[in-house]
Amino acid sequence: MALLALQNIVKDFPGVRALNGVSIDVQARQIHALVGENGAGKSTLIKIIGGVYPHGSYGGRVLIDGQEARFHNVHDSERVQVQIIHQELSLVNQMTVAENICLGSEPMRGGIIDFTAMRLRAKEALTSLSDSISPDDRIADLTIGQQQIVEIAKALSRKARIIVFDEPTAALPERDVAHLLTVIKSLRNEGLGIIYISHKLNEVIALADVISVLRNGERVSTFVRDKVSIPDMVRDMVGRSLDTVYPALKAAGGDTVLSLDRVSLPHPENPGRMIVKEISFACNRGEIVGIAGLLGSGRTALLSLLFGTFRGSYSGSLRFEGEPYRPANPNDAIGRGISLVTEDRKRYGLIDAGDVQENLHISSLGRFCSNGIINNAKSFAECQGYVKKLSIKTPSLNFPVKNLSGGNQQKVIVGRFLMTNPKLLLLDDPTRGVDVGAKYELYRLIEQLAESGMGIIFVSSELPEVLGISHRVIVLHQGTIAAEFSHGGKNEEEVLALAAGV
Amino acid sequence: MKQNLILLWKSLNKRTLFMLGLVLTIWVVFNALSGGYILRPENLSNLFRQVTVVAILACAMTLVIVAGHIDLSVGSALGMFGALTAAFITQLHINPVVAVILILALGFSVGCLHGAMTYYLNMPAFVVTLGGLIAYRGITQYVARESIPLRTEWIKAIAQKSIPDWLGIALLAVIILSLAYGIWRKRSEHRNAGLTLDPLWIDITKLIFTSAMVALLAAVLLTGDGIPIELVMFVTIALIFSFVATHTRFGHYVYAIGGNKQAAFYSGISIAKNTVLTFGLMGLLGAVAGIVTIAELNAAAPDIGDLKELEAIGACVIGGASLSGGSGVIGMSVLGALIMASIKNGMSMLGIVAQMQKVILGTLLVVAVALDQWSRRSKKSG
Repeated sequence: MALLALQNIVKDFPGVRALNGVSIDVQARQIHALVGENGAGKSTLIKIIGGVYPHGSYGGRVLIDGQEARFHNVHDSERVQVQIIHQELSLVNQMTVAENICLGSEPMRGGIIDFTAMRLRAKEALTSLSDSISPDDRIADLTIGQQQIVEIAKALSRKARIIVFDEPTAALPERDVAHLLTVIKSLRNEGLGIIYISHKLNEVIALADVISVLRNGERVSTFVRDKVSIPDMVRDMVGRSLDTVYPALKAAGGDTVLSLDRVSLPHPENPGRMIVKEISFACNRGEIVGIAGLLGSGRTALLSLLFGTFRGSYSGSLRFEGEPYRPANPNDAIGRGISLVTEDRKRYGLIDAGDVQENLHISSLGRFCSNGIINNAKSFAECQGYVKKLSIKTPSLNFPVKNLSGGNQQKVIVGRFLMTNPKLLLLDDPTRGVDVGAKYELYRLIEQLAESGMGIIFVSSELPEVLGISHRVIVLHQGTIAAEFSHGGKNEEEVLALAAGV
Repeated sequence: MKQNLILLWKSLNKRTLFMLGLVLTIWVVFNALSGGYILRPENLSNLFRQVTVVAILACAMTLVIVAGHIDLSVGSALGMFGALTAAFITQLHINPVVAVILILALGFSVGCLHGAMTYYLNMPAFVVTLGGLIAYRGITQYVARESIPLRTEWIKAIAQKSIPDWLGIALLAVIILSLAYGIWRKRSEHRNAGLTLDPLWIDITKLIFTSAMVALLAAVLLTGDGIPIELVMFVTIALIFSFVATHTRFGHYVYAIGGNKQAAFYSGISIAKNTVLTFGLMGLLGAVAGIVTIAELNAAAPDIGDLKELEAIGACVIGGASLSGGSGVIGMSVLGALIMASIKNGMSMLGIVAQMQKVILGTLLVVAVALDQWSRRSKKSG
């Protein structure tokens, strides 16, 4: 008997049917992974399971242990031991680990909170999960990996039997990912039913017992472990075969657009430490240079140097199109023809309250202005052009950008910087959180840009894409270049070893 | 010995120490500048009376700010409650006890109304209470268009009298014994649960030091006019609210909501109930402050309470509360109020005109918060 079963779930929103008769079940001692593009219906499904969308707002039935369950709110789902671990961690930063683990269900004694019992309960919940976290630590002082463990401890202390993980490794550094997956496996072994949602297909294949693919609000297929491959999943997610995940590379080679000569970057607050040590490399017109490296290798610092956001002095020489280049801020960089598309859309990218047009033309307003007044018609035409060129799925240019899917939001940011007509484009993890179909389109776009003569520096934590898309790859390890090779020169394992300093 | 001192230093709350040190420094400096007036028992007594209204407001305002909101109506509301109390008693001849109870209930209800509008209508508290600020001032100016005298002796006594000496000493003993009991209980609970403890001598040293300071203050006051009732009043309110904030579920939830509303919601905490109650308490203390104000003035005037909300917010901010919510300590806000009141008191002693005092206070507020931000930033990057 399934721990959790969803039968024929139908959910409509104004104008769109998010779920069209989806049936899924999770057994005890099972990890059931859900994969699908953005907009396939995964988050809607989770919200129904978690009681965020109450009974009555959807069609179909939710069964727990074979009995129909009608959740009117989040409490109801928790009462039957369903816990959801959201993508944005639900922790109160200013409180301690113990306070967070017991949040909402604090032990009481004589009408007031029993802090001693609270710390004990937290200690117990943490025992099998981690020995580096103490109940009195403040959440704000923990790493993201540790915070995630605290969330799991919280779910466990509420005696969860079913846990749903929503993109848990999106923000985790590699070594914490391995630990998390081990923890999830041991939870499964203890009898829990686990739903695991992720874009990282290789993780899913390594972890899950059962994998279901959602597309356009329907469950398209379900695979059993060891009987599925990544191309199978991708094909079902996207609805067509992607023959090559990465577009074919055209030959590159042109004048040198950017060159670094023995550049060193000291740590802004700790001048004795070098984030980047004597790095030299060049990027030519029409060339895609990929930079691979683990967290702490200096790749983000390098990009921030090139875009003028690095705080602190540095040594070595930087040349752009042959001329010395010392950007003091992004304005300088954009003025010279360098643009940066960052990973963190929310913080560094999107203007949340704005619409598509605003977010697109904001860095290029100078071109559309005469006497300081914006010529809306001119900007409109050009923005329309980019929407078409990038295949941004939006009902109109005035559509609020925060309602777009992650992949389309990323395209808007890319569009914004393309509009500045850069000669060198810097990309920092541009496909983070973007689904497979949109990723492929981004890769093709990057390839086209290179073909048209733009120099591109591509930084990413996903080794396969760095290796697949670049003409040349530079591997960084703790601030120095561990290797430099042309496309196809090394495989993933070799690069990982070099990046890890092995 | 050095090891021990380091341990002791580590166990201390730096911010509390800093604020206390600041208060004492202000007293000492102004005392020197004014030729010894500040530290006289009569002046200290006055000072504690002067800080009472803002201190009371700051207790509830801290919770409002921690919840991520703000209440701008407090000064006007205070005025309205004071005016209505005077009107009830003097003009409508309602029994003073009944009048006070009615006003307190009204205060709580008005506060709950603010909370309900903020939550259910999904409006920024800023806007809701801004409307209140304007409206309640109008009511105050109407009700008290001609000043209403207050003749009820026991209410006036709150502001003007001191508690009997024996009671003062008794309360002092109660405070010290409660502190000792609290330490003993915490230690035995921790020991039974197998959790780590500070060494006993550290707890004892802290206890002796705190008791000595409180006793010294009481002694100084006793040599003058005695311990003012208002002092006992705001200290009691501060202690109760501190306890509620740290030990009750409600208080805990206010911090959770302010820290991460979504996390609180998903943990099953009722945002509605706790928001309404937070504002309700603010309204309640606003009513208390209104009554204390007319007790101080012996009358209700149309401008009572003017700008008091800003002083209350200033006190909380100096005390370290973050305007984005999630952090703030009531005791610190009260100390913040004391710092502001001490500076005002000092400036008055030096003969600085009221207008100039405002300039100085405004500047100091900005400087204090800027320093605070700077120290937080350097702590983070380390």
